[in-house]
Amino acid sequence: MAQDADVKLGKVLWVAGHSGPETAEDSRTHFGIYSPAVTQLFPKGKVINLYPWEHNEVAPMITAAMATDVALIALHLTRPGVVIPDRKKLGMASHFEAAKGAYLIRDYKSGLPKMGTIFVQGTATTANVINLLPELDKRDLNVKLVAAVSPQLFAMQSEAYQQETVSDADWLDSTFITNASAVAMQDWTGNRLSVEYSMTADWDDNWRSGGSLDEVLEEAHLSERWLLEGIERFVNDRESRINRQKII
Amino acid sequence: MTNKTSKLQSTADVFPKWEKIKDMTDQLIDMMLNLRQSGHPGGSRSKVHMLVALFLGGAMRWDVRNPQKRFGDKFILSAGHVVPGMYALLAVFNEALRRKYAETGDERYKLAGEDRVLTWEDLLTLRNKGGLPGHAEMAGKTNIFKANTGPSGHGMPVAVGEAMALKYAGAGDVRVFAVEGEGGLTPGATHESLNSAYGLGLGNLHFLVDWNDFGIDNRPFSSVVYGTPKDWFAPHGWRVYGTEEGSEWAGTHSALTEMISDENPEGTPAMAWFKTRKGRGYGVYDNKSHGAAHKFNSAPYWETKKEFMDKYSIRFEGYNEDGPVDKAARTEQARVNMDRVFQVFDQDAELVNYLADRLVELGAAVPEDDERVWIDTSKNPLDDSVLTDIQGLPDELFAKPGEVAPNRGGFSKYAAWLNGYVKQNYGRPLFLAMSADLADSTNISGFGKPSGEIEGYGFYDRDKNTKGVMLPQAFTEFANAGICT
Repeated sequence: MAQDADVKLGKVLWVAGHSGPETAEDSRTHFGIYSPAVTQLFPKGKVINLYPWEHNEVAPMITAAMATDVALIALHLTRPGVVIPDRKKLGMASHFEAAKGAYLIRDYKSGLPKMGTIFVQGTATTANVINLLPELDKRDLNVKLVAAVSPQLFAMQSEAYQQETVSDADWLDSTFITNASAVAMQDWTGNRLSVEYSMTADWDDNWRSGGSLDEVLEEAHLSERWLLEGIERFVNDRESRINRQKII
Repeated sequence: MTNKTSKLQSTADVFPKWEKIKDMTDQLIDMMLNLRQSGHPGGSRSKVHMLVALFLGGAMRWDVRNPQKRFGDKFILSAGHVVPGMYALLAVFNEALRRKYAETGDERYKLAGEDRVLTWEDLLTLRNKGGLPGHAEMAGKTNIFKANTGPSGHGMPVAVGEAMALKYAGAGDVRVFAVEGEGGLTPGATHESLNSAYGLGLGNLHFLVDWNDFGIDNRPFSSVVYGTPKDWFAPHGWRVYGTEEGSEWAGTHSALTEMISDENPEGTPAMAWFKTRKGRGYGVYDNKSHGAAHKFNSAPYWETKKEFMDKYSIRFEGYNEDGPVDKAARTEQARVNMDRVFQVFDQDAELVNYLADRLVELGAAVPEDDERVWIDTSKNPLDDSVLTDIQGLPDELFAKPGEVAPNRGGFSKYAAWLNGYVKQNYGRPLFLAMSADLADSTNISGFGKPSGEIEGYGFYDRDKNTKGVMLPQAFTEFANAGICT
């Protein structure tokens, strides 16, 4: 009920509704790319943030959060509908895996060099990344794609699962994609160059405006073509990224 | 359970006793702030009459020996900065019980363990780490407070939430009292709280306003805020009571008694205002008395001791002297002088008897149970393994590949299933929900919707559907956050 109070009562489910630039049509007064980060401003262990990108992830994720002793659950939801993916066909992990906080959208392909890990969060962004999967194959862009849906739930998984999903080496060779701002991805910022290569709605350090969903995603540089360009840049700069990190 | 409060003895008999309790409280406020050289004297002093009348007059059913009692009335010091006043008052109350228990060995006077009882010795720890906090906190020795407070007005949404929870559960006879100053009424959360309380029909909610017209800055609130407490509350459907003599016993007690005693068939919330002078008896007044104590053992400080010393023939250690520099010596002097405040008890056994017996009487008046409470708290649905079985979630919560669906739609289905399951198995909902006039838009209304054959609880209505789980909130975003705590 209150900080360090003797009385502990139940759960508070804090819904950040119509979150992100997916609420494009109502324009900038109706969505935030920075403000949703406020739900992260709690001590470790005092809040669980949930970012289910699609319909079927919601129930498993809340259920997992309810099973913990954390009283505050912040659920980030977006407005528009997206196509429910055929995960089996795409080789993706089941929507139940969202309960683990992070899961593989796509692992490294064997036979190709590893080109880096990308954490993906947000409805439109994840949907666009999934649409890009065939193109990534076609261009031999061998990145590992990790759905980053709850840093707190992920931290509660076994060390084996965490390492299997994101190894220490992956963290050092990673960036992220989000429908929000880079600062909201602090939990998925694996190294000092992550932000530089990230694909975020505040790519130009500004707020977004308004319009149709496609228009705002384009402005945010989160449409498929921008994401593809960003992934290619991340991959192509790998050697220099690694070398720069060594210098740093 | 009855709606009656404990009856007061004749006012002519008790007001002189309250006056002595007030005098002791005033002195303890001054002494702890003098020692600590930090804290808020003006508002602490101006509220003493209101607080003594509230806690002893019978308006509030509570038990100082156990403020956690389930059916005890709840108290929120929304003006959390004036907590020294409450600390001092609790110290006086508890000292009466401590003395009476030591004298008689009667278990009725026995206080809880050391970690749960605020004694006057604790006043020496004000604003020190591990000591009494600088603003009200609901913990340990101060569980009388039912919220952590301090930022102006922020206790008010919490008070609405607690009154709502009690009413919803069927314990609407348990009252919630929130104390605030007129400055604390100016934040937007207050406006939202007033509307929310009316909309939810919270006849068990009572705001008490210390109307002293000053905050921190050097201007009266009346120069920037139009109207009177009646103008501020009545248009929101609240019942309004008050007194121009908030630093006199008759008016203060009368306002509280009328507020509690009036018939209230509509279940509307009530407020009482008390016109006071900020800094009463402290030698500096209004905003100048807000957040700074007199300099340690300065002439103005000792001046505030003179009247009490003369009245009770008690001499304080170091009177009219600059006093020690060393911290330990200062603390020892404060301890000696606080102890001397209680010479008033030494001089007046009848006062100790009255206060201890009154506190016991009030505590005994707190009901043990209420048959109208319909939520069975002996079973906690959160312990039900079905609610944490991810793989066991029913198929109907999920959309099929290829369908177009928003994630908020998935939330609605889950919410309906969750409250439906708990209704079927526990006869109650698990979640009450609210949003700022966006219940359907955000799909949070799922909590009130049917789940298969199980009828949904629907929207709450103060008259027609008191078991509805979707609270019919307007654009009360700030208040909603507080209500949910």
